[in-house]
Amino acid sequence: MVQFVQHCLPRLTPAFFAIVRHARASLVTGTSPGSGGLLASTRASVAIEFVLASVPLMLLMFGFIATSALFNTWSSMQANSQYAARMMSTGQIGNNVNGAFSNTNASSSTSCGSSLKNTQVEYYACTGLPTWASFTVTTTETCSVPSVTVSLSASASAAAIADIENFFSGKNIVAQTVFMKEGSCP
Amino acid sequence: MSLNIDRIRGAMPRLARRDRRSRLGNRGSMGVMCAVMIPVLIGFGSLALNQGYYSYRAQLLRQTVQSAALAAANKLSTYYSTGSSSTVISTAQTFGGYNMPSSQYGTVIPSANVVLGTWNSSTNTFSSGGSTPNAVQVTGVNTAANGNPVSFYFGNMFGTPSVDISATTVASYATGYTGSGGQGVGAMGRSFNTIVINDLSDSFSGEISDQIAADLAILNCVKGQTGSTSNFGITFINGHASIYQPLEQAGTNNTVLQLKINLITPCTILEDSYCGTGSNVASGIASAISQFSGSTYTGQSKNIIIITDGAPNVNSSQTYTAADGNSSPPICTAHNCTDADLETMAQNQAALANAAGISISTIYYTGDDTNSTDQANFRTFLAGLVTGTGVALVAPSAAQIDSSYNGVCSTIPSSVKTSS
Repeated sequence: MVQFVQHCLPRLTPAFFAIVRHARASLVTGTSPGSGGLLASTRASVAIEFVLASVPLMLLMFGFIATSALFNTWSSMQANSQYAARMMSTGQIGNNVNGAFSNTNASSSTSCGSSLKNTQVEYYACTGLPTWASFTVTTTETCSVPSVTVSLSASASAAAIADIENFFSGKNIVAQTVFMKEGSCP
Repeated sequence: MSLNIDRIRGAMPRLARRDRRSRLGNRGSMGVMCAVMIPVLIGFGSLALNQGYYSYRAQLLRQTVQSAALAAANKLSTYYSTGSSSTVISTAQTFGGYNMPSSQYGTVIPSANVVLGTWNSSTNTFSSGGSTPNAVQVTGVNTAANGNPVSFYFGNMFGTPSVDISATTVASYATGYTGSGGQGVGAMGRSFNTIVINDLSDSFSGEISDQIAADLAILNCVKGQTGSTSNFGITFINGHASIYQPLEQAGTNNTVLQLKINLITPCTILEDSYCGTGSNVASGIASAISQFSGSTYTGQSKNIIIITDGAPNVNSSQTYTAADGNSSPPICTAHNCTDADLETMAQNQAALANAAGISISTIYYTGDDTNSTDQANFRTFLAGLVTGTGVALVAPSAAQIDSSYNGVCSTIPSSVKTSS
């Protein structure tokens, strides 16, 4: 489904707007088949009705696709943040991108990417996330509670894939998990 | 064949009018289609949206409850040290709030939904209540009755504005869960290698039977709840430490270990030349660190449980060596050591244990010294030795030396079972 949207959307969208342009041009110049110009043409009136009706229909359809993609991404982020937080809370992973957790290295923030190593907690937060968006992962160890927190954030617009109306523009989605730190801290 | 031209001519206007009416009839057809299709599209679209949102919220609630249950299980020992479940409940609610803030999601974990009980790892069942709980069950709710249902998009249009969801998790120190039925994120079965340090000083000799009961209970905990890979050992302390039972697998050697524990008797000079030389906790910790050294226990859970009736007391005729815990750095020289020196030695050894990844728990029996000032000092001293996942427990009566083991066992919260 995602591949369909990614591949077909760039092709469908110009075609759709080409139809709109053609209909508008026909309306202005009266070049549509039929006597008496376009406004009197019954065939063109159907085309115009289609254009007028398809705009909200297409927006609605892409809106549903975008929102579904958003939830899909958000759900993946939530699962990954829990996995990473659990690895961190049990002490199975004792490093972030800056090195071993310590009093002076209790938090980190970085972008997900291929440079992360499997000895770093960020690796587990980023692995398997959707490829169509960029993610930022933040890890924090708070020994006064004690707790560990892993947060993943992404642009909602990018996560939605088909946000053609920029409905999600400027917004972020955040998935966060907090576990109690087990064992020694830091 | 002749054509009736006049008839054809007469029919033309009628056909033209019919065609015109037909063409005019096409107008608005898209409007009719849209009137039908848009509600259908919105209906199916919102169905898809709501399914995605529902899945996300159910996942969020499940993860929140898992976090809360594990945190609560980590605090289960407070039930044994205070007799109250309030800390367990508040911890569950705190971590529930961290993951699903009440300002946004309402009170996801009401206090009544945090239940202490017993987890049976053989039958995978949880029984609420009981005098020795080993598990915590947490139920998270997003329901109309709780004032925080999950609202649906366009739900009012279809008569279902919201839906109720709930998730339940049981977290316990037991690790026998293997995954059938429900969704487990734990089931790690990690070992819980344990050395019990028994205080065989004269003052504690009257409670040997209670120490034996505690040793057996801890052995059973290590054996029965953490799989067959856990090792168990016993080290005696007086002025000096002696290994009574080297580390052995608690499961496969269980019968032998039980027999050995039941043979523990008060110290006699015929058996141990250090009898009557006070109690030196540092020597026990130093011995345990030595027993846990080496690659055998690398990366495994290592635990020391000290059962004593008070703070160390010095033997003025004894020379305390590095083997007695007088190292890193040496605190006192021959015959100059004081009670305070022994306490410092114990604290240094506890720091070394912590650095080696060894958790220390203490069980303090208060019955042998009823002076309240002494008791407060001893309690503070022993609590200061706790490291890692260890806990400081107090047993006001001899019988509670035994029952306190539950608090120690509850520091192994590595298993979780979820249903939603």
